[in-house]
Amino acid sequence: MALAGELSDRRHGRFVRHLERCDDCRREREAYTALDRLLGNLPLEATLPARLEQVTLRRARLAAGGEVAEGRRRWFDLAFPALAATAVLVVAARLSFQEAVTMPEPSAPPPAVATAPAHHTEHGSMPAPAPRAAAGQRRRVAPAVPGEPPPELAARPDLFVNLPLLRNLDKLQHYEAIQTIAVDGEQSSG
Amino acid sequence: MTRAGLPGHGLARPELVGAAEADPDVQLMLRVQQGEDGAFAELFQRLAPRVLQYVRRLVGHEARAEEITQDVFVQVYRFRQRYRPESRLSTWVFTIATNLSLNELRRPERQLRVDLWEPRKDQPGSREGPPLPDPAAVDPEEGAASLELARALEVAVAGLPPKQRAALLLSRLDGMAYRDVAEALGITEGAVKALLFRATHGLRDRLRDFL
Repeated sequence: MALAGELSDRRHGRFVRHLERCDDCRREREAYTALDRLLGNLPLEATLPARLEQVTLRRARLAAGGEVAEGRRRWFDLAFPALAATAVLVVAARLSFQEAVTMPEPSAPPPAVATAPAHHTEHGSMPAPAPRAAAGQRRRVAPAVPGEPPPELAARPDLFVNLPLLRNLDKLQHYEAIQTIAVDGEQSSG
Repeated sequence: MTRAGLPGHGLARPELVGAAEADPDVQLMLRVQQGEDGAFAELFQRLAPRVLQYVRRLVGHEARAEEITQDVFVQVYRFRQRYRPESRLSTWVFTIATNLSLNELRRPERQLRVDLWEPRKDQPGSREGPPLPDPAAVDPEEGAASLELARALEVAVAGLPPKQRAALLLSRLDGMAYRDVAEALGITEGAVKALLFRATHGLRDRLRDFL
């Protein structure tokens, strides 16, 4: 502490007075002073090998390049799972939406496909039309149809006359007449 | 702060901020941060001789010291944006050097390595170590005895425990106050003084024949 100059003035004075009458301590002090001087003469700088600077600068440049690549790779490492997760979410959302649209009718009767009688036509036997919502089929819920046409369409009935359905309405009525009127003029049961 | 990682800067000491910013080393580092061409090479040329000498004395192995010096400056470059001019650049750089050197000394295989600071048994006359002072610079009156003393001093320093050695060498660097040494070693100023006290005592014992 004395060599480092960390003693207070009073303690330093006592230390100096002690050295005046103590040979051992004086020798120790001289030894430490010599040691301090020796340490002060230690060369602090080394001669750099010629290749050291080149190698270090090249490594620093490579490290900087690697840093950029690592940044890209880190971005990809994050982006790829994020994109995959987004894709999974989109698919899951789409499936759940379809699920919601085609919900099974809660009051549907049990499947009746196996017991449905075959319907014979002139082209062969066709399976009878299964009851709606039978055989586990799911009914597609149609959007609600308005009871009345929009006012702008109601005001223009001429827009409808050329529809094929309306043009064939007479034939349909004729067909129904065939179905419902017997040859002898009696009403059939249909 | 981890030994393997980079040093933190601790608390900024406002009284040192202005002084640090006036430090030419700090100015140079700011130029490195701004990506100025040639600034890093200039920084290397300015600091590397001291870093290499310090690491060489700390690890006692010439080739490994050069590798660690490379690592130090690669880290300085990679993490250049982390440096803040609140602290001295040399403190920051020597903290990295100390951490890497102490890591090297802790490696298990290090125990098997021949200590280059000791004379080799197969070649009793040989003794490797850091370059000694230029003979031309040695006082002619002291001559060979001075050279021998310088060599003995190097060997004695190499024989100190690593932390004592680091504290002693750092305290001898230009402008490294106790608080800078403490920051570099990650200890308190009081612990630095204790390390220096023990190191000086150790050297005194080892050099008893010369002093």
